[in-house]
Amino acid sequence: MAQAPRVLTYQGIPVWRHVVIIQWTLQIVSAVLVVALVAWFFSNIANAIQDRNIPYGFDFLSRQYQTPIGEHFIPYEPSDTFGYALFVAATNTAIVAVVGVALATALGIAVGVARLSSNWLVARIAGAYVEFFRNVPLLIQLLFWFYIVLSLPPTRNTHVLFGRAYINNAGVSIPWPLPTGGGDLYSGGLAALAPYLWLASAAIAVAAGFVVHRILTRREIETGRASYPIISGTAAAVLIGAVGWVALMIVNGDAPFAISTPAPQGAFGRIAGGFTVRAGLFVLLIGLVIYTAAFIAEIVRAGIQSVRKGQLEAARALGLSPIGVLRLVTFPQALRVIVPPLISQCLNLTKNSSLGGAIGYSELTSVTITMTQTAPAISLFILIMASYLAMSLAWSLAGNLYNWRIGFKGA
Amino acid sequence: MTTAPEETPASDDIIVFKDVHKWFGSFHVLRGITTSVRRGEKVVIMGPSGSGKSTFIRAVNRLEEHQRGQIFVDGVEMTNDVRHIDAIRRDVGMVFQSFNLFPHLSVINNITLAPIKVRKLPRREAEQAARALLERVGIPEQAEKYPAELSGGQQQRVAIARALAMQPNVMLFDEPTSALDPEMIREVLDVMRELARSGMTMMIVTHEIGFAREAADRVIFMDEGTIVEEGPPKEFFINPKEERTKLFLHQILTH
Ligand SMILES: Nc1ncnc2c1ncn2[C@@H]1O[C@H](COP(=O)(O)OP(=O)(O)OP(=O)(O)O)[C@@H](O)[C@H]1O
Ligand SMILES: [Mg+2]
Repeated sequence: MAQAPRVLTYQGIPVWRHVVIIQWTLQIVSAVLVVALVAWFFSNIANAIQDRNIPYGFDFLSRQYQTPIGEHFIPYEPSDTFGYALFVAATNTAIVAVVGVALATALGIAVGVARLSSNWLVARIAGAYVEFFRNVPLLIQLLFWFYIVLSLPPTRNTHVLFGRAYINNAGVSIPWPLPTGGGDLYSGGLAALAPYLWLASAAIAVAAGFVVHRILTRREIETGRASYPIISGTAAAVLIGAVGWVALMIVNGDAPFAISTPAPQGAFGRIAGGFTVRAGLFVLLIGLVIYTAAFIAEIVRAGIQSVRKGQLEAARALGLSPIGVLRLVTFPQALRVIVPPLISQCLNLTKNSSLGGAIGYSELTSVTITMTQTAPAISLFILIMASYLAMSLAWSLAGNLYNWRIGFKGA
Repeated sequence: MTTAPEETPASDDIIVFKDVHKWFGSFHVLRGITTSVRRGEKVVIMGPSGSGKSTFIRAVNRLEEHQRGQIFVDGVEMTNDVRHIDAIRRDVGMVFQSFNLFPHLSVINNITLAPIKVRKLPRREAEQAARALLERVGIPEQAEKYPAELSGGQQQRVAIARALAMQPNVMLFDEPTSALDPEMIREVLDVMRELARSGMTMMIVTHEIGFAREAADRVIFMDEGTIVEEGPPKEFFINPKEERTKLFLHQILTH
């Protein structure tokens, strides 16, 4: 066999046969190819934009948008800038994402556990739920809920629920605690401050409740004496919250919050007071939650079933109660299987909220589409792609934190 | 401790089976098992695959429900009464063929989980007891490891320690060495021999004839859901009475 020249050897092996060299060469070649391809793609786009005089750039962000946004949870005026309007739309999407994921996870766990129920009827109903809602396109489901809500009576002859809540084609209104004293810190004085002070005391109460719970749990484990951590923690929290409430009432002569009951007003019966979830958001949440929960239910079921039967038998043979088995043995193991696909359902729900425009909810995508009439579309879409990417990365980060935490604990 | 069953069996019988039947659907697995185990007795159960050995000992702590007949453990009848079932499971330890350690918990936490959560032992006390048990099964240095980091023999010894941590009166073993390599079988059998010498009541499904000869007070031979023959190991191995027993012994001795 021909001898390779010395320069073409590494560790005495001809370079074209050396595993490490081969791998590095392939890495470098592929990296160069990818960079070249991306550069070529973007220079083409830039050229096309220039040649055809397509508007481009991000100067518009500081211009006034001058268009109302149907719904916003932070203050917004049409005189605000494009940039701020986009932020408002992004918060609308983020609210749907966070509330939707919380509700879908809760419903999904319930349905997933129900599917494994030994009660035949419960298991069948859960199964039918899953099969129906994950096999019908989401847009169709959203439109279906939308038409259901449209078919509700108008506000002027609204449905009344339990005598205190209203449901009509404008949305759902429920009684809600609202701060008394107007909440205006400049003119209202202490009366206006009271609700915030109480919220602070409530936060302290909850924190104290957790601390008590933790201390008593530890004591129970260390000493084996029953210490009632849940009852004591709750009691501590309620007590501190109540003390804060009574103190503010004495100082102020008025409770910091009062339940505001919604009530129809005026000729058209517009509902005032309480808390109103408007139809668009309501429909979008219902649609996304019901749809996503069907997928989450399957993930939860698979997760629970992935725990080997022997694990349950060993736990039961040790005398653990059924709840103890679920909490200490099944769930900790199932979670490892559940969390990664659950995160991808969080991403799906967040991205699917972009269908909200179809049912009249002002989320990021529908607002952006409206903006393209007065601002460069390519720039806008680059921005909203970045926004969705950022939200998705936030979910992934949460998932990775979880994986990292359990990563310490062996196989 | 609990309501007295209508017919309390003789007090030195810790486990009593009276004409116990069990079906899986239409399949009749246990066909009238009647036997009893004395306090401190070591009973080895043998029989061909599918004969119902596992179902038999799993009926003792009601991992399998029986549908006819009566089972008494420590004078308490096994019924659908959750209180009785919980009480029995606390007092009966079980070791499985596939170890079934909890993979998400370290060795020490595998052992202390039930003493802390079920027996409400203080953690420090439970951990001390756990370390003493690890010493006893010969692996004191593995306390902080996770099950996946141990050999099969070590895992099975942890499983034995985990069962012993509940301070059971009876230990059930379902083929504890069948999933192990030969060199690990010995370390597990050594632990079981030591346990037998300590006076523990034991029911062991195994095909380890050497162990049965040496440690068992009695061998039960099962086939097709019935007890075909039982007796002291000397008689059982040297002078079996039933044809089916002879055939079985011939098969496992010459395989
Ligand atoms: N959950 C179940 N459902 C239906 N049939 C079962 C179930 N568990 C066991 N069986 C059947 O019952 C019979 C007895 O099973 P068992 O596990 O008690 O046998 P075994 O004597 O322990 O056998 P092996 O030596 O293979 O472990 C077998 O035919 C088995 O297929
Ligand atoms: Mg078996």
